[in-house]
Amino acid sequence: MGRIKGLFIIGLLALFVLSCVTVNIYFPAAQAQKTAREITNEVRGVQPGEGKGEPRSFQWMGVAYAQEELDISNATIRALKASMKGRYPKLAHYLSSGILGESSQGFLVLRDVHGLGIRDKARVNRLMAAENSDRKALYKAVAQALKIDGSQTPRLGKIFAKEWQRTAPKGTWMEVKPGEWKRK
Amino acid sequence: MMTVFKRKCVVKRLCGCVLIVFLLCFGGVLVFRDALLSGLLPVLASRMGITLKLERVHVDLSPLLISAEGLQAVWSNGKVDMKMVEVRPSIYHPFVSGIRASEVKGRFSIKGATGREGRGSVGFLHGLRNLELNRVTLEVSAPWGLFSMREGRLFLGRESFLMLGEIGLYKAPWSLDGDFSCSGKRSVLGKSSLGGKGEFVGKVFWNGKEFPVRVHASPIFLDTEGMEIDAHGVTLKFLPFLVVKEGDLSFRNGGGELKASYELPSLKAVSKLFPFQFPRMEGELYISGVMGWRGGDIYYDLAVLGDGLELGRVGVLKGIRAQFQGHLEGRSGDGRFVFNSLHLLRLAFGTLEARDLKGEGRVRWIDWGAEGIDGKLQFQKGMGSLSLSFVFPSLIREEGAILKADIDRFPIGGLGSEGGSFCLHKGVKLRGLVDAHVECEKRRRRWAVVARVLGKEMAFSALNGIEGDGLRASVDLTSDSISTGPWRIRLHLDEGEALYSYWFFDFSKTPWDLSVELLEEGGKICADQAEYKGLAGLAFQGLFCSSGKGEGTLSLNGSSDRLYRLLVSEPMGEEHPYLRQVSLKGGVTGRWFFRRNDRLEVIGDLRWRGGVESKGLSLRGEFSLPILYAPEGKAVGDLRVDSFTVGPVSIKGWDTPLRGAPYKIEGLNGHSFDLFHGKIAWGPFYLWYKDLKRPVLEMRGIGIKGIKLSYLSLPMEVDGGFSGVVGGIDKVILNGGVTFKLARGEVKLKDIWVSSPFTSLMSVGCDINFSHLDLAELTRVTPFGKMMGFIKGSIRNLVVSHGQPEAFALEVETQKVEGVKKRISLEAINSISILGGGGPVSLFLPFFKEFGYSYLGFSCSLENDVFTLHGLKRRDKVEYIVKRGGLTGVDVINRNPDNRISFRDMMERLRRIRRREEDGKD
Repeated sequence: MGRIKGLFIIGLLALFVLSCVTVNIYFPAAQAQKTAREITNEVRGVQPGEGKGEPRSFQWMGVAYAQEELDISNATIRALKASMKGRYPKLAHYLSSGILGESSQGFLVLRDVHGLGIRDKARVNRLMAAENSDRKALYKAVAQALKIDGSQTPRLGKIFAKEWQRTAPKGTWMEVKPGEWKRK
Repeated sequence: MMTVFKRKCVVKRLCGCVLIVFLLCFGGVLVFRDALLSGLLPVLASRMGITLKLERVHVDLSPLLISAEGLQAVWSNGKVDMKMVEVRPSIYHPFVSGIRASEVKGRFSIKGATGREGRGSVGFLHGLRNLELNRVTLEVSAPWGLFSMREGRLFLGRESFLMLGEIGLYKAPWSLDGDFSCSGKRSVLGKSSLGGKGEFVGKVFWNGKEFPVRVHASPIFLDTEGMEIDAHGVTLKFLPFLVVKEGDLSFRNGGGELKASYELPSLKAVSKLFPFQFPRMEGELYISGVMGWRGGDIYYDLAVLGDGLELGRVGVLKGIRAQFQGHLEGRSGDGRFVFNSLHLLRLAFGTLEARDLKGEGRVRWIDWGAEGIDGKLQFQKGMGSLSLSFVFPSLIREEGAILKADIDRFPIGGLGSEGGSFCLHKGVKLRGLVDAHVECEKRRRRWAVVARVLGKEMAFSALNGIEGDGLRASVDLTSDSISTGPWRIRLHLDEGEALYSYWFFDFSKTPWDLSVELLEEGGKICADQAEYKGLAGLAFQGLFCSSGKGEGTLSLNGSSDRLYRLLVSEPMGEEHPYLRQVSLKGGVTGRWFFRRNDRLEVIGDLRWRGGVESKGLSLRGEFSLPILYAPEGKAVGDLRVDSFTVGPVSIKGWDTPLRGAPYKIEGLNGHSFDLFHGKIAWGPFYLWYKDLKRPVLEMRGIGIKGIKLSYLSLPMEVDGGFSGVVGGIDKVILNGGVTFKLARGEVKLKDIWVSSPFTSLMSVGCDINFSHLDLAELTRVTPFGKMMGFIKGSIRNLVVSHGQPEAFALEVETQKVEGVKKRISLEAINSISILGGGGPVSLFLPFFKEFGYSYLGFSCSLENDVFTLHGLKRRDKVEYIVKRGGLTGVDVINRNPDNRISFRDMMERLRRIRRREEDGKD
């Protein structure tokens, strides 16, 4: 009897040990989305709630976010926002003319450079490289601020991608799904 | 007078010699019977007017290439009447103007009959006039094949030659059986001819097959009059590599037509016609259509299809593979060809593919003269033209042959490499207009080439992002052997623009000039000399191969201003704006020996002398860096800083020798300089660069002593020391600390680091401890409000980015110092109140300006732009920031323990405190 009891206890312990294996993935999607929205709005000068094609369900969320006191930000994020905000007027032309596109990963890509001279291509390449460099740093900084694991940064990039596409000017190529592009 | 000689009669021979001399003087007839006749005697005799009668004589005129047996001939005045001749080797006799022979039998062996007489014709019987042979049965064995005739007739007139030579060029094994006669009419294949009047009825055997033919006049496929042949289902193999199957062959009135499909089963044999050596030819070539000749003209209407053609190598071109479909039509002298498509051309450095290259060409066909082959091929497409002319002195592949090509505004388009690479770049596409002149000459069995290609309005792109537009480029190529090299190439670019990633080049402002000598080494194309002028001067000597392996010496000479501007600040200035604020002056030179097999090794030095200017920074100096990117060796250099100024800091006259060790540079001497009555010194430094993308710099023994910053509103003295400063691209770590003595206390900074030091995202972090700071001193210089007492505390994990705090955890509390009053002004209370989120309290306490306190302590943290503020003293769930002493004084209480203040709000509160002071001053 005592032996059975011992086995039972060992079994229970084993079950307990196995059940203690926890995979803890923390990804505050709502907060990330809110942060992405605020940042993209600020960089592109879009008022909260603006943006064509915005799902109705997000409208109240935008209001709710606005009521919260604290944004996710820090000095690095502020500097990056300022840098991107200063660059956006130059980028807007290339976005609306379809030369640059917003990928689904949250980065700019070259779409259609036909008719563009080499000198202009160089300008576009440099702008795009600078913007993507800032975006990469931004996603890293936001991930750190939200205490998101570094491996989840690409997921954050996808959340940002939707916001960049939402706030992109008319005529911008947008990658709605990987490999599937449509023009705004 | 007649004298008869018999064989083996030595006495008679002796007498005969005397007699011959006599006859030479007086003329007569010599009869040789059963004798051996050799040497020049018969010739001389015949030329001197002596008639020779030869009966059963073996004639051996070896030097003159006549040898015959069983000869019955009368040889008089340079003419020979022969009967029952058995001729063995060749007949070639410059002094014999005519031979008549009957019942000629024997074997002719022709050697070297390939027209080396300077007239382009075949040596066989060349110069022999009026040869008439009856009932000829002969078999000609020549290098090109076999000619046989049985009881035929052969007549060759003046200046004629047997066309076997030309036919033999094609190596056709063929035989002719039947009566045969020739006369000296001109053929289309040369000034001399085969053909003429007469009749030939018999059979033609081509390639082992028998064809019944009836020929009036000359039987061979040349221009003859009155000739008629109709043959169907003809299978011909009239070139060793060209087979006609099931063709229709017809001869009519001096013309002929062959309507058939042609195959090239042996492409290897084709290569022998080309001036270049192909080690391998594979694939299939189909030609079908009509080819005919009339009145000396050839006409043709052919469809051409090449499938999977692969050529081993043509000069620098290697592994050419082609598929094309085209159409060829015209007549000799003029014609046209149309390319419907041409695919895939593989070159030495990769694959350059031409897809659907279409165009029309004009052919200036070959004038086949006695001096050689002289032809011209013209290709026209759009506004451009390509003309190809060639002169081969006798036959193709001969010494001295010249091949010329001229291209005028020839548009290239649709050229590109897909899936492969060209010049190390994948997916190359090319377009533009090309002018070119190419001249090849065969010298010492090799083809020498001189070529100049001028490309205008050129554009190219590659998958890796390299592209150019509006380019004008000239390429000069010279080589003594196009097949084996070396090849000397000079490229000059002086118009247009090119782009790689964000590196942009305007060649009209900075022309490029590249000279390179290439050679083949172990099947690879290698550069053994190269010189570049453009952004800088670069020269290379050694051997560097397309496989990426090699060794040599590279030297650099350029302007650091231009290099920095075009390669660094302009391309990367958008991403790193501070780079635009830096200007670099002076010159840079370098000389490196490098070797690359499995790994790269570089040994040499990099010298620079000049200055660097930036916002608030100025440097003048020079260095000679000993580069030793190799596992062993040593080198020396030096570093001299004439002046270095950053803000108030100025360093002068730092000179240190540099020592190069494997993957490392050591600066041996430190330096010290005076600053604000103090001294800053540092020891040796080390630069590790084994990982070229992540070099590491370490500076050891940095000391700061007694620097008095008395000009500040809060004077301080700085001391410190770092055992080492280790810096990389990502982070710089300072091992040690700095102590600031101020406000009668100390502020110690330690664990200092700088992240992303060379980017606009630079952050600085450290931990700070402070103690014995006199609040009276501190508050004197701030608008916070007057306080008295001493404080101590710490700031943990301070991070400052872009001049703003990003994170910290601050703790401050009073430090007990005997005999010091602890007082706080109403102004300071108001400041604390404002910081804590409350309003000014002065309205409620109008009669007191200062209060005593017993304790001051709070913690403040910043993370993600959120400040939190807490009093350190807790009693009865109340957080005291300031606790009064005894019954008097003031308590400042944090009523909101969950106080979270946004960065923006905190900045606003600080501004309110500042504004309040300014208002007070007003």
